Amino acid sequence: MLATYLPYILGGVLVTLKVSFLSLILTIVAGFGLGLSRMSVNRFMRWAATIIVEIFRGTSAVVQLFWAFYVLPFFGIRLSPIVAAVIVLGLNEGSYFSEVVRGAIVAVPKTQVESALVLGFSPITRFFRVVLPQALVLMIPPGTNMIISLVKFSSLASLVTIPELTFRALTVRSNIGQTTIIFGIILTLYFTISIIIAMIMRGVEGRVTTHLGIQKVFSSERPNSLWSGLRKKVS
Amino acid sequence: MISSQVESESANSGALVQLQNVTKKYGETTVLDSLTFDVKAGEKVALIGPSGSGKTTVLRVIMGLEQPNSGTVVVAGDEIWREMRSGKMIPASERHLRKVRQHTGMVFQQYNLFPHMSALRNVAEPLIRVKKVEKEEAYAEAKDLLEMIGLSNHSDKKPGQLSGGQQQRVALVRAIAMKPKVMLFDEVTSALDPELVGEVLRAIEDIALTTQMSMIVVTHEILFAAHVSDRVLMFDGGKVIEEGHPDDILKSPKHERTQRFLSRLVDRG
Amino acid sequence: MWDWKLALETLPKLWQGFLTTVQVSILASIGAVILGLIWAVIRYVEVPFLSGAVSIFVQLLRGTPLLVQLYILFYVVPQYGISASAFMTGVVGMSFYFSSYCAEVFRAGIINIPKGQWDVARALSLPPRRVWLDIILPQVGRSVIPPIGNYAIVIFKQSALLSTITVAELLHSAQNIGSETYRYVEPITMAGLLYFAISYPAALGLRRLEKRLATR
Repeated sequence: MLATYLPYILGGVLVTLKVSFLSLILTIVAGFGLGLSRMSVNRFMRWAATIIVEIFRGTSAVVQLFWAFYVLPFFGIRLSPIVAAVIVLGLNEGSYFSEVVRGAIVAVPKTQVESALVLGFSPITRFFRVVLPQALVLMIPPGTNMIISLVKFSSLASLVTIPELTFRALTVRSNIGQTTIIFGIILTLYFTISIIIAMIMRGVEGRVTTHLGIQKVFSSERPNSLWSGLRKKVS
Repeated sequence: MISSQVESESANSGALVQLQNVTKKYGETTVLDSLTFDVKAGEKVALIGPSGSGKTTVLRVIMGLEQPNSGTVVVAGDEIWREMRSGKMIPASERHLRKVRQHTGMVFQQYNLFPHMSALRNVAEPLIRVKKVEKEEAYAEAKDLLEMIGLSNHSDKKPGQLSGGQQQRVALVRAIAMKPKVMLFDEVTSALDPELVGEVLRAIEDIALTTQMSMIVVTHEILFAAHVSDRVLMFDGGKVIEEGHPDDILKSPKHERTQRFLSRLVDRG
Repeated sequence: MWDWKLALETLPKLWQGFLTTVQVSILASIGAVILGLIWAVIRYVEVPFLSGAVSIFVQLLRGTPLLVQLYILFYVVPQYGISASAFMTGVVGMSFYFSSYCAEVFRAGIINIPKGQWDVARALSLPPRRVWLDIILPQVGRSVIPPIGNYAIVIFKQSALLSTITVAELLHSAQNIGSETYRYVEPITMAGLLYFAISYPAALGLRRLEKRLATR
């Protein structure tokens, strides 16, 4: 009985990954956009970005999702479930990620900026050639958490009828019961995805640090106050 | 670009770097006290003095990194901290600073190489991005420079794979590659292990002997300072308290504080 | 469009849900801290089999969605005889989920104590209990309060998820009002504002507290 539904459940992994991936793109764009805006000299941009970030951080993704799904139609905006989910998850996580972006850029030693100044780099060149490469390395550990977070939060998409893993588990359960095994399966699937992502990111970090010649940041054993500072990120 | 008075003065004295009554305060503390001195074209000057005397701050003010509270700083005829806009002298903008900084090069105590670039790229990148040199030409030039200091075998290594002395030498040629008129050295050997100091000093010496650049060297290595410079300035309390030819200063310092400073160094061996 | 009268009318109706949210949050926060401390100590002390098991368990809690964990507690566990109210299920679920984050905070807090502190304590021949209580834990406490406080605020916001397992908290109340009156705009927006009105000042206060703790 369960065996016939197994492919259906496993198919949910693809939807979960799709939702996570689309949200990830928006998260990165929003994270950099908001993060850089908050460091801008333009007071309006700083102000606007801060408001957006605080609003999305001030309430939970569930509330935002329901708001997008139930409230926006009253204002004439009808979003399809997938669009609503991706926008909410992307902007929500992106707001948290913008703090990581800011923190990483600020964490690049001032002496590097000075060297670039002394050599005459223009601000743009300085940012893209000197600061950003070094900041990106610092973003990897919190970035990993961010990606795993997106996968976990993709489960919220089930609440707006998107047929990802959690949704399919509930559907199958209502058909055939066997609750324990079904939830055991999806729990394992989610866990496996998390572990795989963590492994991939560690690999990325390894390659990036040897390529860039910078010390590894990703050590859970090393008490690194910079790292815990960047880890203001939440669930 | 600058007020005609300063222009004619520097033209008269042939000074490449001119400081007049430069004062810099950090809160209550006065780090530079109405400082006035100049450096001629091609001259090598050493700044010595106790820590906290303002030596590093002087370099940073000349380099355009630290804005003085008052006074004028002129390098190669351009005033660093003020620019002429629509007939008026106003505080320098970032663009102006970027332009005038091209006259000056600086080597820091902490090397400050870009960790994500190879030694070769560290030298070539500024040429490409700032001097707009063609990529191939820039890398060729960088290669030559690294060869000159004996690091051609290490050109593809990242700073993390180089010793302190090697990193500092790369930092040296990175600055020189930009062909500044004045080179500033901020205690460039103070952070090095003793056995690595020599190679860096030798490199600086080579540069001093072979180029027409003016040099301002802040250092604790008194003997080296004497060896390589045309003039030694003794700094204390944000002012130049004594200056003269290396031999004169070091063998027979006139000022009491200079005597104390030098004797303490000798005692330390 | 937006009905101000209706908006203000929903506030008292949301009150009960809001109280439930606060209760759940407080209980879950306490639970998360206690459990997190237990996990951290077990892992630190390195008991042969237990520490490894706890390690894996904590990773499981962190690496899987809270929603799924709540469903498991709500649908699976009762089948094996343990039943509890939706409220308690929610509290337990959130306690376990967030205990994994708290455990990490405690672990970082303990590791980050400068080694010198341990050396001094040993040099003074203090008994282990004194070492922990008088020297180590106070310092750990100080570094740990900001992140833990942060998670408490997150718990408050995430409690909205409990509406999916029928806990009558704030979001659930808002949805009920919406389905009764067919107007979702006001209830959900007001609920959102309530969440914001608590979490944002709390976050600001926490930031200020963190600065003051850091300078001491």
